[in-house]
Amino acid sequence: MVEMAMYILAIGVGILGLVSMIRAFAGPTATDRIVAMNMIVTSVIVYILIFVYLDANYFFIDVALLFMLAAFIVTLCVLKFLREGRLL
Amino acid sequence: MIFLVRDILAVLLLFGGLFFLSVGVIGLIRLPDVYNRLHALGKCDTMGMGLIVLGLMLLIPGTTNVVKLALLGALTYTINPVMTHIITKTAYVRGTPMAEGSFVISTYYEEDEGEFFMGEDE
Repeated sequence: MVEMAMYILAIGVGILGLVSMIRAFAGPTATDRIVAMNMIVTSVIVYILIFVYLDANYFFIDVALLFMLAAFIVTLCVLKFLREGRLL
Repeated sequence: MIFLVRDILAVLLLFGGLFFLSVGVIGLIRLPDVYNRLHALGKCDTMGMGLIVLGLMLLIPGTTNVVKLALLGALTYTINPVMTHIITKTAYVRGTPMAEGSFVISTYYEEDEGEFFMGEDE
């Protein structure tokens, strides 16, 4: 039962990531694209966690954590560039 | 018996998280404005991710893995509101146009608009 739920969850989260890619392509402003990228990052983290359970390979939790922190830093840098026109 | 109860609880939490993520993505696609989209996604994203991490904490064996997942959930609950706040403030400072019929009550940034103002988004 739990494996079936995990497969359904993987399909659903994949569909959500692909649908939010529509907003990343068609967003009118740059901040729309950043919001869509935020959602795509969340779906990728959930995907990594699902495959942690399905493969029983528990070291990939660290990969999910590192991915989230790296995405946070990247979002901060892009927002600072949009706001001030320079990075440093 | 106890494992069956644990599995049912975990599946309920996982599908609750999927429901919240779906509501956030529907808001991201259908709402007319950057601020409305952030209002939909900034909360549903955090809640869905937190519920999925909580459901996985019931399923995964080992104390170390559970503690790592708890750290992941805590970081999600701290980072996501900060990111939403910064995105909203950047959109407001850049002068992104709002939807039809919306208005601003606070004029917080009116006097030092020249410092940060980089030009309008079209």
